[in-house]
Amino acid sequence: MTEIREEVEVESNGQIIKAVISEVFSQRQVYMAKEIKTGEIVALKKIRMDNEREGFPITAIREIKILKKLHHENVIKLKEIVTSPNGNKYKGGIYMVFEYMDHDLTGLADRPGMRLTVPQIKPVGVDADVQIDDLSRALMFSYVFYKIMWRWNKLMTENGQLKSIIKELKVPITTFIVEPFVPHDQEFYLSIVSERLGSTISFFDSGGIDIEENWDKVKTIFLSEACAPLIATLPLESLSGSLSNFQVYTALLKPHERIMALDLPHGGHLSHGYQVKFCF
Amino acid sequence: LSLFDSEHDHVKERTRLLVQLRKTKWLRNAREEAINWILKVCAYYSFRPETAYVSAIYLDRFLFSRTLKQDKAWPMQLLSVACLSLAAKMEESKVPLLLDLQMVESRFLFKPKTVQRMELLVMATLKWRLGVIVKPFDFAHLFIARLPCSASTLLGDLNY
Repeated sequence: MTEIREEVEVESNGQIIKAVISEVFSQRQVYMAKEIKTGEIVALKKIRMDNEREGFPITAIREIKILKKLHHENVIKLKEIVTSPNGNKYKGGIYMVFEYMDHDLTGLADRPGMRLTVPQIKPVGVDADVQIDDLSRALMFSYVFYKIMWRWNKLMTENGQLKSIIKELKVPITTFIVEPFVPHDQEFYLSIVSERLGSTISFFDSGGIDIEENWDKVKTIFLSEACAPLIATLPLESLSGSLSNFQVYTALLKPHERIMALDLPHGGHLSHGYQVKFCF
Repeated sequence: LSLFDSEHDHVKERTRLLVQLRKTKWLRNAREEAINWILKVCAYYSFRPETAYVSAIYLDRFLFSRTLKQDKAWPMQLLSVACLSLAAKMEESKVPLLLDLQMVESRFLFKPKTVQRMELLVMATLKWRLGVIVKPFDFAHLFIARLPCSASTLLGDLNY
């Protein structure tokens, strides 16, 4: 894991910090780095500007703007922004410095033979009041949570804390009332019910699969002992902007917290729903 | 508390800039010209007032930290373009292309690549603290709400 690949010098507040890049994560130009001075392990994400015709990328500016405003335990912390001085191979490179997280859930799910441990699964999106003693239930929770986090980059520490990176959030986040409650034994699926509009958006509609219909598949994934490479093979992408907004907001909630929705005459939007229950 | 601190720093920075401005005439004129140009572009694209305000703040903070060559006009223009482009990216939902941004009454036309380099220089100079935390606009509505402005309450008060 700590094989040294490349060394890069970055500059922070006029001071040059040497960072050792020990692992390069795929094409996304995210590096694991060690700050020479403090010995702290951080993640560097390069802001790509090669094909940028409109100056500094607006998506990066907004990403930085949002991340600087968000201080939440489930959102990854942007520590600072550093630049590498001209003259070396990383000429003019600009990096965002994040806290380092051990896993990327998508990557984990793709890695064959990779298994999550119970402490990694348990804290994921689980109501603190609900005791989860059996593993399958815990997995189901993580499944739902995984669904929620889909539009985000999902990262996890060794002891199971999840954090997310927001990706290019272009639309304002919308509003819902969210009421998590203790799950019924059978109802594992997520349903978003809008009473006002008389409609139900099922888990299926929001891009997940109907767990009852696909019980065989789900059973093999969730209930077999080799439980870890969960979810990855299931089609889990939300179909619309408001749903992904919803997911983003939900990820920021603690159990029993609410997101308030605006009524239509007061400026709410039809797609936001009015009163929405969010159950698992 | 941190909000107050940063505002404090900011005010200090600004007063020092004002002193500097009073001393150097060319800088005063150039700054005024630049801000006028920014206001014109903002009006042309009907940007929000925040955008003009934020770009002027960037401009001032940059001018405070670095000095420009005074015998040429283009550095100031490039700086205004970069500041305006950054502010628009921060505040606006739709941002015009860099070339379009320079179409309004500008004497120079810079390549996007050049503007990008200037943007980076500006951001580095501002130490990546692009968030202008305290804007007068954030408070305006509070004061407006406090005003006894609706006709009925006014009349009511008078009758009383």
